[in-house]
Amino acid sequence: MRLQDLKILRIQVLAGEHFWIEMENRLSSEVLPGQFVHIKISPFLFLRRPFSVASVSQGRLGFLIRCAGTGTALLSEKIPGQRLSVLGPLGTGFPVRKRWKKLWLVAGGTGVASLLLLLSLLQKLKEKEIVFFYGAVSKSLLFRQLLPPGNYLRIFTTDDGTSGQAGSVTEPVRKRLITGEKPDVLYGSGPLAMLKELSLLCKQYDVTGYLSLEARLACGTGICLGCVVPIGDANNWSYQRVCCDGPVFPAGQIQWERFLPVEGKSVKRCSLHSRHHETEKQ
Amino acid sequence: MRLRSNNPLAVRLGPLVLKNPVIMASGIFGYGDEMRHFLDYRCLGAIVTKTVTLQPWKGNPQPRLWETSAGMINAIGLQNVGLERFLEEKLPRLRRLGTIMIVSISGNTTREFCVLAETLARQDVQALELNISCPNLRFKKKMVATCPRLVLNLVKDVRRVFPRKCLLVKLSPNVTDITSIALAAEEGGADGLTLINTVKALAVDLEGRRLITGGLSGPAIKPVGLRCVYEVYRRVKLPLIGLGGILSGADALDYILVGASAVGIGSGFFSNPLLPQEVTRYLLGKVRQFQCRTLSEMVGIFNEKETGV
Repeated sequence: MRLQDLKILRIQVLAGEHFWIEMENRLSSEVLPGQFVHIKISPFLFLRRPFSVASVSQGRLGFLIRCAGTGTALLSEKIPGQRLSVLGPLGTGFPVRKRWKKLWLVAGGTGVASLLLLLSLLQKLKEKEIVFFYGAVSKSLLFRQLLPPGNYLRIFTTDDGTSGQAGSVTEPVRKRLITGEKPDVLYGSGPLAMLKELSLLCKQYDVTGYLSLEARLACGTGICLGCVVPIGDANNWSYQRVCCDGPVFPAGQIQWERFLPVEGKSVKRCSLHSRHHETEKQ
Repeated sequence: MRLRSNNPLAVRLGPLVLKNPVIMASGIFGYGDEMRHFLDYRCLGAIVTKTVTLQPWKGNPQPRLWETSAGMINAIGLQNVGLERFLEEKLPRLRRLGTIMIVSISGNTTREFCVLAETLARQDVQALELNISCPNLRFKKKMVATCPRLVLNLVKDVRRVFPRKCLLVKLSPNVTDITSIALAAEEGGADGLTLINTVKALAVDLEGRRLITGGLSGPAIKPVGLRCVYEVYRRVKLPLIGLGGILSGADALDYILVGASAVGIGSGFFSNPLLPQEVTRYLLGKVRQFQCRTLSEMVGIFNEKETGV
């Protein structure tokens, strides 16, 4: 973990409020897939903003970002050459084991960012059979061009059916599980509702799963306890920090009902954790 | 440890002497070495631990954080590991940091505060901060820091079991007259006062159809903190630790000039982990610029004590 000013090298506008940003890479340690950096975007924004690292290449860090609020909007207006204070890399990455041969990666929306880095890493390893599930709202938001070339199965879904299969990205996962196919490990990143669904599927079909959660962060380093999620068994859980105990957690350990209560309740403090909230870690 | 005359930044808080006035406020500094990569702990005057309670507390469910236009609302709810694990795991690590440690404690009853203070005194802890002002916590359905009588009795009782060591009391700005609370803490035997804790606040998350309640911190509350220090300094003899919205050395100096002997770094540390060093360097420069020998000579020079009160 280091704190330094990094130069913006490139900003490219993508479809639907998404953009791709590249910064120079002078982070002290190697970035693990699933890790993120905490960026000070403007002196007029009090807190830093966390972003998953989507690619590491030739001294460059790449990020896929959606304009979800003031912070990301200000970031999208930066120009190459400007420097930003970057803290990182932070958090735990996705665990990778030699014995895991059959790997399923399930990405929803901008959650694809952290899985892109994982995918490029896994491709360098031998004897891995990878299936990459990637779902988005519509065709224009399915950033196929960001996927690294290689020999792996790609399955696309869109909510509106404009590309790939129509429906949620969890559906093809479910179908494969029903037919008796089973991966050694499943990695997921995306909206909370999708991750909850994956978590249930992992439990139902006894699949080892690792999910990358998103949360609002303040410190990013584990000292403020603001980003916690309930982790553990139903009877023995505790609040753990997304920023440093996570953001990747074992699928079976996330206590969803304490964290994502049923939608449709009336306005009440702590009653809802909306999956639409303006979080900016993607 | 004596106040060394050759250190212009040394600060005395009752029996405790800090090498400089920069204190890491409670709740923003975990329990240890998370920030060791870029923060030199030895450059800090002191650190205040995350508040410890007798039993472990899980803390509040989400949402716990909300950024506002000039600050943030938090509702952590004093999540902590409890006294037993604090003594076993955290205290030895904190002792190795090479800086003075002030343990923040809180409880639901006077007895809980006293058990904590007594146990920590036996463990050779040199300084305590009583957190009686957390907006996310109630003491008999009331925030202790809103009632002078409760404050007086609590401080008196803790003082009895924690003698001859530094006892600080953290006050809340959510009161009609903060000086009456400060006077009560002084009468109870406190060695210093920390002000202010966060300001009660609320945000509306329209998209998520929910309300976020908690305590506001950040630059939004700096004027509130300054006013509290200003008022308390005029009436109370105790040294004050001023905090609330310090994002730069200049912010810290404002607190010193209106009467704070030391300053606390709070959530400003989240966006700038180098802030403690920057504040220390800035204050040292200002001591020279003001042609003072020590920073303590500058305390309250823009304010004056009320006499005969």
